[in-house]
Amino acid sequence: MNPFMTLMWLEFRKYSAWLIGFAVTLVSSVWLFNQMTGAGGDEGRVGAFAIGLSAMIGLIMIFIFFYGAEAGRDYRSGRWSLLLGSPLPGWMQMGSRVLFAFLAITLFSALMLGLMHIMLIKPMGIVIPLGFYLSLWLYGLGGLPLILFGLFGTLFTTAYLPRKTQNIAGFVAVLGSGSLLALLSQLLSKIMFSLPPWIIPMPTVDGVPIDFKDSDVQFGNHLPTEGFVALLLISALLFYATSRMWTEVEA
Amino acid sequence: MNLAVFFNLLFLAWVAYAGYRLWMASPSITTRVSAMVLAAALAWGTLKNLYEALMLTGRF
Repeated sequence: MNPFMTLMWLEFRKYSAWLIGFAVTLVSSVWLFNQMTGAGGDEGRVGAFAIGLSAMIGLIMIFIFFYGAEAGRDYRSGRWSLLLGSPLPGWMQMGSRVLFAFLAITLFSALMLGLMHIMLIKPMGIVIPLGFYLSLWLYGLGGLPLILFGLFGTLFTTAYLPRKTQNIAGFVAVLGSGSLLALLSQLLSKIMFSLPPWIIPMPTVDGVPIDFKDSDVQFGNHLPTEGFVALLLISALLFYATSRMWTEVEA
Repeated sequence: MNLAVFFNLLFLAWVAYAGYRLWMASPSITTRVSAMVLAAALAWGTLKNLYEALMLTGRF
C-alpha cells in the first residue's frame, strides 16, 4: 500500500462533500449567468462577472479555512493512526494535504474562470489570452502560499493544548503574520524592480490592448518578479515549518 | 495620557505576556521558534505604531 496515495484517498473521502459543493456552484453559476445575460445584456454580464468572481474567491477562502481546521484536528487527535498502521513522516502528511487542496482549488477556479470567459467575457468583445490567466496563476503559485499559510496557522494554534493558550496562539498567529507581511512588503519595496519585470500578456478590447500606463494604476502590463521569488521562498519555508511541526507535535 | 500611546503600551504589555505564555507552553522547538518570530513581528508593529503616535501628537 502506497502511503502517499492512501493519504490522498483519505483526503478525497473527507472532502467529497466539498467537491459536490464546488460542482453545485458551477452548475448554478451557469444558470445565474444565463438569467443575468438574458435580462441585462452587457450590463448583466458585468454584474454576473462580479458575482461569479466574488463567489469563487469567497468559496476558496472558506474552503482553505475549514481545510486547515480539519488538519489541525487530525494531527492532535491521531484519528487515522489505526488505519495508517505506522506514523508517517510529516512532509508526507503535509504534502498530500497541500497537493489535494491545490488540485481542488485549481480545478474549481479553472472551470469557473473558463465558464465566465466563455459566457460573459467573450460576448462583450474582450479578448483575454490564455497567457494572461496562466501568468497570474503562476505568479501566485496557484494559491499555494495561501493553502500553506492556512495549514501553518491552524497547526501552530492547535499545537498548544490548554484552550486559553490556544486562544493566545491563534491571536498571535493572525496578528503577527499581518505584522510580518507588513515588514516584508516594506523590505520588498526597497528592492522592487531590480530584477527584470514579470510581463503579462494583456487582454484586448476590439483589437486594442488594455494598457494602464496613463492611468493611476502603477503597474502596467508587468509585475515585480521579486514578489514571485518572495512567494516561492515563503511557501518553501512554510512547508518546512508545517512538516516539522507535524512530526514533532503529532499525538 | 495620550489615548493612542496608552493603548499601544497596553497592547505591547499583552504581547510580552503572550510571548512568555507561548514560550512556556510550546510543545516543540518549531512551535517555539514560530511563536517567537510572530510575537517579535507583532512587537515591532506595535512599537512602530507607538513611535508614530508619539511623533504625530508630540505628547506622551
